[in-house]
Amino acid sequence: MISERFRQSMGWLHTWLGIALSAVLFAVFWTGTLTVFDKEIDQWMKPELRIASADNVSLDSLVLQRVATFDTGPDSVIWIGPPRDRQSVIRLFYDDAAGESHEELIDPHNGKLIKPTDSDAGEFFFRFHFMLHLPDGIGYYVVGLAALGMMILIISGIFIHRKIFQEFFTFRPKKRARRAVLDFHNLTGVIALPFHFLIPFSGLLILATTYLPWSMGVPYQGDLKQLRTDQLGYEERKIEPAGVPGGAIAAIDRYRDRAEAIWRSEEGRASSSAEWIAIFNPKDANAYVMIERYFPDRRVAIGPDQLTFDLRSGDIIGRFAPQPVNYVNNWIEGLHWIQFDHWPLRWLYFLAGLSGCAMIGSGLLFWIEARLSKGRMDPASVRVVRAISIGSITGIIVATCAFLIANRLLPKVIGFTDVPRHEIEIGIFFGTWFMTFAHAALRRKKAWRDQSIFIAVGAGAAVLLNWLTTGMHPVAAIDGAIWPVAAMDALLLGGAAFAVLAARRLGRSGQGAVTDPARPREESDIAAGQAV
Amino acid sequence: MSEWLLLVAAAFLAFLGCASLALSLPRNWLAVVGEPLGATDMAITRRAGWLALFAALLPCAIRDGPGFAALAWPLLFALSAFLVAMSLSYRAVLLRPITGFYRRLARFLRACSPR
Repeated sequence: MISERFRQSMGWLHTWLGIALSAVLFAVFWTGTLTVFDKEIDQWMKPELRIASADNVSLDSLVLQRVATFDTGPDSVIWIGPPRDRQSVIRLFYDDAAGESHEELIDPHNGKLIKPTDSDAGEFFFRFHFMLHLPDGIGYYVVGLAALGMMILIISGIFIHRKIFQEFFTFRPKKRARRAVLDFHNLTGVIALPFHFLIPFSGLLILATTYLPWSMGVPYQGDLKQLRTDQLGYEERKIEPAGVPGGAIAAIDRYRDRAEAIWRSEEGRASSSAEWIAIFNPKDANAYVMIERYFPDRRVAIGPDQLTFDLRSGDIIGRFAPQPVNYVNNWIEGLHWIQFDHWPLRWLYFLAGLSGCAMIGSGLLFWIEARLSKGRMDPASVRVVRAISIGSITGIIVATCAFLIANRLLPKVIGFTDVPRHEIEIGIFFGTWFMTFAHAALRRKKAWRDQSIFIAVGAGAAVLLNWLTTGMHPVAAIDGAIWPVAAMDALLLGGAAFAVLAARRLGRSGQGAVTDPARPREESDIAAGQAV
Repeated sequence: MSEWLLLVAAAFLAFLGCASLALSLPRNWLAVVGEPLGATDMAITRRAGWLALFAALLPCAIRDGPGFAALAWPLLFALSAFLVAMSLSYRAVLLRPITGFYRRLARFLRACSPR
């Protein structure tokens, strides 16, 4: 039996920790949710990547001739990423003889080089959701603390909820607005509770070596290199270069096919595609090739699984697979990375991510309105707190729309400044986001409605601009089976429609927010509300 | 094809489970049926709800193995719970076929039970 005092202390913790972390958590959850479709965002923002998928691509005929022209050193490594489920192009990475890194994208249908639009696209949201675009790795620690805080919020939320089962399916939109917001907070929090707990937990686990580098090295007496070799298969080199020039590499397909066949037979699965083919010592007589998959397509648990072949004899000279003892860890990390090939699950992740955003946003909203209704805040504080809330919730969504619009409006080659195009896009994202805070401070509670309209207009404009600049409207995307673009457009249009409904609702209420200070609180308000 | 059938089966069972558990609460049953929830109806609905909910795990596991099922099942549950909550809030009558089924089942069980 939980004592009332304990419940109240949990309520206090839940309230104040939630207030302290809501803005960061919303930003992380929002960008993390977008990252579920990062490669699809890439295709939307880099139209050159909108290529129909190709099966059974021959890397021998499409890539090897090009690879032979690379100015690599004798001990270089060339990484080749064949097309996979969510990525149509072939990727090439290598360091040249001078040590400079290069990346190339190849069309899998004709082997032609692709020059994509200079945009960070989905990669920006991915990096933001664990680094916050802050310098010197500060973001890692801010997000880490926020993730830890979210786990505490979830646990304390369970303790303060008096009637979890009785109110499990409860949402009363027709009750007074503050009650409805609290219901929505409880509903979105409770239904996906395991997800809301596992996501921050798995995020912390992925970055465990960053947060606790010393503890990870203890079993290896601080030798992190050995740790990486044993646990992650990151061995420097299986064979040193002979120093004798080797001939051109004639075939790599056969090694990829052999590795995939071995994985398929061992796992009893119909498909198991290689993620990377790494050619070591490419111009040396001791050249060898490693086939790797870090993210298996039909398994949650991450790898890497590696098979290394000697190019002269064709023999397997090395093999790495995660130890069974790592399976739980790799499964938990894999559930966060979401790189597996499982479309229904990917959509469920997206919806669960949105429910996380809704939970965080409604929690913040409830706290503010509860405080306002009691007249506990002076007008200046109200303005500041409300501006921070609006900017944190609707503001980042407006900024996301601006990011997409900027991507479509900026010319592919920018002549008027030396600032790279992708940095201008990011600057527009942050500039817009900061302006939404200022707008919220100026427009006060009307800013909720205003920014809902901005979202509706921005999302609609993004779809329209995509059509105008690429000629690909949603129907054409469906017709051409370019599903990433079709889905992005559909989500933008759906988001615009939802924002219109929200704006209309806020306009009808005449409040622009959910304040209803005249009515007393209901008996059933949970302890979180009581602790406010 | 069978993959999609298994997915639909899992989604259906998860929704049925959530709807049944929601309807086993007197307030929700009253909102849908317009009559108070009897003790027999409550017992049948709640047990069937738990059964359907856990049964949804089976097609998930058959389709993709335990590694994926451990993710798909709670997320299908979350989606179903949300849809049930929205149905109860905006269109409670949508759940009436489920209550009708349980009421007939309760009548059948009463008829079969020895007096």
